[in-house]
Amino acid sequence: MSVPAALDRHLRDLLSSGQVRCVLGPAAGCGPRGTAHLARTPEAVDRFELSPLACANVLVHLTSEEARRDDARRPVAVLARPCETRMLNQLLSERAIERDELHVVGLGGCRGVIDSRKLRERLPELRGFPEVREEGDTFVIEGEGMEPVSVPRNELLLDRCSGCDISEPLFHDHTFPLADAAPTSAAEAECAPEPSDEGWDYWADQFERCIRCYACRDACPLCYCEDCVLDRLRPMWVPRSVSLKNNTAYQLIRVLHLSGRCTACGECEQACPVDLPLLTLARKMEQEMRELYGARSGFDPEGRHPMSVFDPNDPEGTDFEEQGR
Amino acid sequence: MLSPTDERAQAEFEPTIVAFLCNWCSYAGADLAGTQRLTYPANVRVIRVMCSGRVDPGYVLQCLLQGADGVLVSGCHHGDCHYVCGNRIAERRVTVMRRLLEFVGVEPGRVRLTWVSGAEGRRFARVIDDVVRDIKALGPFHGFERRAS
Repeated sequence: MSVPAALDRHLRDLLSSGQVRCVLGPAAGCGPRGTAHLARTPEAVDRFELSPLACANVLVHLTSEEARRDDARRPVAVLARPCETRMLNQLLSERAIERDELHVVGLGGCRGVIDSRKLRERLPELRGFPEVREEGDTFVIEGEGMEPVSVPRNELLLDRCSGCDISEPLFHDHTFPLADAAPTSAAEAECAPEPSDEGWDYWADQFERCIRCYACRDACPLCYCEDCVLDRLRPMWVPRSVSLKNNTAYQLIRVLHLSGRCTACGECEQACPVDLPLLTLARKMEQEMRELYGARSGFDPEGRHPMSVFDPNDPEGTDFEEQGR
Repeated sequence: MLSPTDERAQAEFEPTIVAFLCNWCSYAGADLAGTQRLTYPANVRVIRVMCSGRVDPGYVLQCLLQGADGVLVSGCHHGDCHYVCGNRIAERRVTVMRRLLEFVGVEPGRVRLTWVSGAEGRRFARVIDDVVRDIKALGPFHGFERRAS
């Protein structure tokens, strides 16, 4: 299974007519996880893959050198799921990329994607990139040299997908329905649990495992600063040695820099080699920004960063009451 | 044997508090408290910044990381900011920072935000009293290390 014929034709036309300089989209990875693919020629379109497992957030490559190489005047086409159009909106609002540099091919009727970590846990014997079909409320997974296995959808769905309220692209130049899309059943519409406050002991256990590979930062489409504070030596915002204290500082700074911008796509958590619950932090911050300031990142391409504006009705930030003035 | 932290806790705990005071209001307020000969606890280490909106959450984190037990950010009252709305920006940043710290299990009371104008020397002294009392009650900060069990 690659991409539906109509979409395939559209992408080839875009490339052969020279309307776009390249197409960025998901492809099969070498393990049970998707990867990004950049097609510069019509033949390269074959590698795109739209199965629910090919879900790496490809937008991180949009701001990279590779996609910006040669002929920056022609746009890049992006195959974007609805949540990725939200991320695109955020990038547009930050002017990390301009609208005329983009040709958005929206993928409509998204029913959520598979969490590769959950899949690995469920089917540890899986090798290579399996074929995945959606049949009603189950995913049918067919790996190399394996009998097809049916797994209920809600056991494999990414946390961000259960409770997701956007199933259609927020904006697009062209839109194509994903193959065999069906409306979401009521059972899935229930939200993933609210992030709960676990206390320092829990987070100390988590942050202690961090190996500071910076994969979470590098996988994040919103971490595109060329000069990152985390790489700075003078001043050294976060000491480089790996220790609980420094790892905590690293993660907190990363989360703070993303607060109000993060769309909780969960790519950081997917990229983490030691399985830190990074999406929990991201979702918590997203929830706070919404509760405190009614700010939802990625819904307004003209929107301003909630940390750079204020509202006279903001909740009180001080708690000092002077008695008996 | 007691670790240095325990020994510190055993003696009368004197917290270290870093205070970021804005140049136009709170720093002048602190100055006035001094010229009025008001007494307030000597636990604060004052850092003058041009505006409370200039205080990056990263600064606050650095203080906590390097041994402060609490951090105070103080600026002008609403509407008085020399730079129009720097204090409102600081309010959002500090609020978000506090929520995040609370989520990872650090008492949000260690990061405080207040407004003190240049005419409020007495209020400044009271703010410091209040902050020092609250942070003493919270005890020494673990500095993002494991608590001794």
